[in-house]
Formats: sequence, structure tokens, C-alpha cells
Amino acid sequence: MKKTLVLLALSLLMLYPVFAAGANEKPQIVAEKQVVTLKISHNMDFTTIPEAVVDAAERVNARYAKEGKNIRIAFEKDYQTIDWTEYQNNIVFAHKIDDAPDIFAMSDPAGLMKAGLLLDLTDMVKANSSKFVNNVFTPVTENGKIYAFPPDLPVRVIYYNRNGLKAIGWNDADIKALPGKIQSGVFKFEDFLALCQEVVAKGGAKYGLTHRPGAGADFLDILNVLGGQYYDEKGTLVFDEKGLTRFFQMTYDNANVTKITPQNLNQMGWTTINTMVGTGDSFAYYGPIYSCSYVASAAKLTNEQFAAQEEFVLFPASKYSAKPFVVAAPQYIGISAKTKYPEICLDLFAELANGSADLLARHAAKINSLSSVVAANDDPQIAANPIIKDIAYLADYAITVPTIYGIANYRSELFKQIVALELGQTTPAKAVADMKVQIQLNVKDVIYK
Amino acid sequence: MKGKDLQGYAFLSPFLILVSIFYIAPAILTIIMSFSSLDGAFLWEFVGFENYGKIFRDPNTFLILRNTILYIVISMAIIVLLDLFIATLTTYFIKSDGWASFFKSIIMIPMITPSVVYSVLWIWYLDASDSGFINSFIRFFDTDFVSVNWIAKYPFQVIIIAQVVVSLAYGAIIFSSAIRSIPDNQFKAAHVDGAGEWEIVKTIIIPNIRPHIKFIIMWETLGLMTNYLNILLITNGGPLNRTEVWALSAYHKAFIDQQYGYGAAISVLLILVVFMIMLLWMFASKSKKEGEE
Repeated sequence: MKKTLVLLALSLLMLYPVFAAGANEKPQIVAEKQVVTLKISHNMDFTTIPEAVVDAAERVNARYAKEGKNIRIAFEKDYQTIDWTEYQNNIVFAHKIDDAPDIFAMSDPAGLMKAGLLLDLTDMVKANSSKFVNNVFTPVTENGKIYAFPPDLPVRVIYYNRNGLKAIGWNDADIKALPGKIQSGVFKFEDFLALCQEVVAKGGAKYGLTHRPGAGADFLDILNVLGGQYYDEKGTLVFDEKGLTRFFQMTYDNANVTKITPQNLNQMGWTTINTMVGTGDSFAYYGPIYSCSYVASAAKLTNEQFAAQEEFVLFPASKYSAKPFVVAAPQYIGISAKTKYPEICLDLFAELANGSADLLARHAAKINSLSSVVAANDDPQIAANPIIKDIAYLADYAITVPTIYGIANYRSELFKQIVALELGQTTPAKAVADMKVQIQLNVKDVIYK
Repeated sequence: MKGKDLQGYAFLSPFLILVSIFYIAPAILTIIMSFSSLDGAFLWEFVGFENYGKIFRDPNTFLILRNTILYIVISMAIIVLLDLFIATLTTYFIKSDGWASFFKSIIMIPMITPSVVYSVLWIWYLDASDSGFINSFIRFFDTDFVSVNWIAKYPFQVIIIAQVVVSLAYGAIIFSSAIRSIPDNQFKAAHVDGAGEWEIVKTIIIPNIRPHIKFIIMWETLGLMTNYLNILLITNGGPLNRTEVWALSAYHKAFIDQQYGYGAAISVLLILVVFMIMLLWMFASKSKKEGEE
């Protein structure tokens, strides 16, 4: 009996810490918050985008605490610098194995929309519609549903170097008046090409007009300037022979006749072209405004120095197009359709459009872009940016392009022909015919005109 | 089946399993994919023979096929001839082992250089701008020289030379070893008979290393058919499609245009051709063996 009592006492003694610990744990569970870890993924340089989301989460956490919600948002970050196609493929594969990031950057929203991998943001956007700049969701809207969030509003524009104009004898008043003349439609694209020629002829620059050395949407803007159409109101790809012929003729002439574009431009690397633009060797350039940070850096200029020499203007109207314009080309981030926390992710995006618009302004100022959120555009960070402080008016002329299926193929074929035209290895008529065959072969649902 | 055979197969089986997993299964998947319209959304929609039809309707197909054949035949001919030349020179004519090894080491440099570095060097050499190496070099002697856009003007020649330089070492070393294994008394007998050096090369060296020449031809053909890395990095198949070859075209369709189904169909045709060449090779080797027996 004694033995039994001793054993019982010992057992109770051993069990005490277990119960004691259990008793302490209970209030700890109540005090500890449920940590929701979201995976956020980004590609390439502009990490101010995911960082805006991460910082907005801190504010949402504070709000949840005030509201007595027992949730704390944390992040697992995955920032990469790989080819965009490869990155987006990885996003698709991650969805297939149920390991997709909750929030991620994307290069081709159309592909992800088609695959049904993006969460529908329509209700959140509608609830905050007054907070956004008009039409920023057009490229990611399908059948009335919105699938991605634009953290910025970079526009594609024409840049030119004011020093080039000074060098050919323009006075300050004339130089200052030129953007206004383009804006009013008095100074047309044909005049601009003639100006590029004049600058080269009079020694104001080595080259008149340059562009990116790879396939991209910038060329489509010039096609638009020349009255060429590449999509209809439903977002169907349009093959506009007359418009393309005009564009190809201009491309050929610029490199082979007027020689304002170097014939070997497409064999040069980005750094060479950026340096040419930054140093004024190239008078004008067309492309996204955020490229100017690369241009300034290649020419070893600060943003302030670059802004002092460079003008950013609308794509002028031409004989074939009625109005000047810029193209708004926001980057997009999306929420996975497979996320376990759709409400929280939507709350984060809503926070960015409201109380955390300054975080988007921080990103926009960093990449020299306007913002998709109205309040961000009024933020001092954007107002103080030397590149964008004087060009807010461009937003009034911004057009947005819808999702166009087959556009990647169109851009790739267009660029192939541009390379050959600039080298003088094909003719505009042949380029149009060859491109048409490839589009007929590779893209379904195209309108030919 | 004999016990020895069984043992052999047992030892081979792990490799066969690995080959099945990493080669045969993906090849079957590629064949299945070639009948789909798989694109960037990665949704499997089967379209029958549409991708194959597209290959034959595409006017660029003939050009790409022509480029591929020319690229293989010209590169291979130059590679084999230069391999023979270098091997004979460094093994038969240069008697000093030290010098022979030195020359062989030099020609090995492009082979052991990563393709990206090698291609960047070529791009820098042939840069179209005034600061390009060759343009600057010529301008050093001729101040009026106008810079040439070498890669755009002579793209096919550029990719062939680049490929030849990188491929030289392998064949040269194989031939060199083969020449070294020719019994010395054959050369001595030829010298006693008063044979000239060219005659020795023609009647002793080449016949003795014929199997090695055949092997290198086969090896280079398969390599040139499937390897497109240097072309991708130097010309990317351009300008237009002037240097687009079959394997590169599969890459472009699949990974640039994101038409994975179409790219797979192009790859399947390539696999078929490679397979047929291998069968022909096996058949020819077997016939020769039987003839000898």
C-alpha cells in the first residue's frame, strides 16, 4: 500500500508541470494573434510595388488591432529578376501544384485571365471607383470583370533633348512653346520627323529618332499615330494593311532615306541606346517614361540633370490621326484565384487605393511615373519628382489599350520586319505581306482591313 | 538468353530506367503536346494535326529547312576538314609532344568557354558601331573605313565561323588519338617506298582513321541539328529568318511566341529526323559488319 501511495504521489508530481503549463497556455492562445502569412512574388527592378503592399499590410494590421480582429498579416517574399515569360510560366506552374503566391506581379494579364488564375477584383474596384484614375482597369477587364490592380500609371511618350533645338538656333520661347503646339495639334508628327531631320542636318544631334532594340508596344503607338489600327473596341486583333504600310514606310525611310534612325539600331544594346538618348546623340526617342531613369543612369546624369535637358511630350497627331495622345501602360499585380485569404488580399488592395496611396506615390516617384490612384498623384513625392512634376497634363490625353489576344505574336512579327526594314533588307510592301501570312498562320480571330 | 547477357542487362537497367524517365517520357509528352494548342495559359486543347499543317503552310518553313541543311553541311565539312588538318599537323608533322599539346590546348579554349561568354565576345568583335573591335581594328589601318554591320550583313557566315571555332577541339583530339594509334611501321614502310607526305596522309592516315571520321560526322550532324545556343545568342535567327534553323525555330515558337503545341510539333519532326539518321547509321554499321564477316 505504501508503495502504491508513493507511486501515486510521484505520478502526481510528474504530471503537475504538464497541467501547470497547460493552464498557462490557455490565456496565451487568446492573446496570440492568428498570423496569416501571404506569399508575395515580384519580378524585375521595381520592388517598390510589392513593398507598397507589404507596408500597407502594416497599416491594415494596425486597423485590425483597433477593430479587435485577431489577425496579423505577415509576408513571405519572393523577388526575382528573370525573363518575364519564364516568371509568368512559373506562376502558372505554381498554381498547378497549389503552391502559388497569393499576390504576384505579371507581364501578360491576358494569359492568366484566360487560365482563370486571377481573383475577380470587380467588387473591390467598384466600391472604390472614385479613388482610381479613369480607365486604368481597361486592359484587365473581361466580360465586365476586373482581374488585376495597377500600382502605377506609366505613360509611353516621345522624349526629345532641348539642347538639340538650341543647337540649331531655336530660342527659349520657341523651345518652351513646342509641347503646347503638339498638345493643340498644330505641330504634327510629320513636322516632328522633319524637325528630327533638321536637327541632324544642322549638327544638333547625331541621330534624330531612336527606339527600343527589341519587340515591344512602343511601335504600336507610332502605328497609331499614323492612323494604323491594331485592335477594335472588343479587343480583337486588327490587321490594318494601310496603317502598317505607312508605319513600315516611315520605318524604312527613317533608317535608309532620311537616316534619322541608325540602320544598326536593333543590333545595339539597351545601354548604347540609353547612352545615346541621355547624352543627346539621339535627339528624340519614344518609349515608356520610366525608361528615363535607365537613360539618365546610362548617361551618368541625375534625374534633375536629365529633366533639365529633356522634354516629354504627347505623340503628336498626324495627317492620319486626329488627336495627340499618350498611352497609359500600367504594370499589374494580381491575387491568385486559389488564395486561402481572398478577403485579406482584397483588403490590402483597397488600403492602397485609400489610406496608403502615399505608398503608391513612393513607387511612382521612384520609377518616374504617374499613379493609378488619384490621391497618390496629389502626393508631395510625385509633385517633387523632377521628371513628372510638369507633365501631369499628359494623363488627360492617356488612352488605355484593352486585352488583345494574339498581341504578343503581332508584336514579335512586327519587330522582325522593323529590323529588316531598317537594315534595308526588305521593302514596306513585302514586310506587310510577310507579316500578314504569319498572323494568318499563328493568330486566330483577327480582323483584316 | 545467356547468363552473361542477363548480367549485362541487369547492370544496364538503372540507366535504361533513367533514360526512360528523363528522355523517353518527355519525348512522349512532347508528341502529345504537339497535337494541342497549349499556350501561355497552359490549357490542354487538342487540335489534331493542326500544328503539323501549320508547319507545312508556313512559307518560312522552306527557308528554315534550307538554312538548317546549309548550316549543318557547311559547318560539318569545315569542321571535319579542319579537324583532320589540325590532328595531322599536331600528331604526324609536329613531333614535339609539348608543342602539339600547346596547339591542342589553344583550340580547346572556345570549347571550354561558356556559350554566353563566347557569344558576347563575338558580338563585341563584330559590333556594328565604330567602337566594335573589328571595325576599330580596320580603321587603325584605314582611317576612311566606314564601320560595317557585320552580323546583319553576313549573319550566316558569322554563325558558321562561330560554330566551327567552338566545335574544332573535339574532333581534332579524337583524330589525333586515332593517328597516334596507327602502327609506326606503316609510316616507315611508306617512307622506304618513297611515298610523299600527301600520299601518306591520303593512303595511310585517312583510311586508318575512317571509322573515327564517320563517328565525328555523325556526332557533329546530331549536334548541329539540335544545338542552337550560339545562333540564339549571336543573331537570334535574324535578320528576318536568315539564320533561323529548325531547333531554334522550335524554341522561338514555344518560348517566345508561347505556342508550346506548335513548338512541340516542330521538335517532334526534328526528333524523327534524328531518329532516322541514327537508324540509318545503325543499319549501315550492321551491314558493314556482316559484309566483313
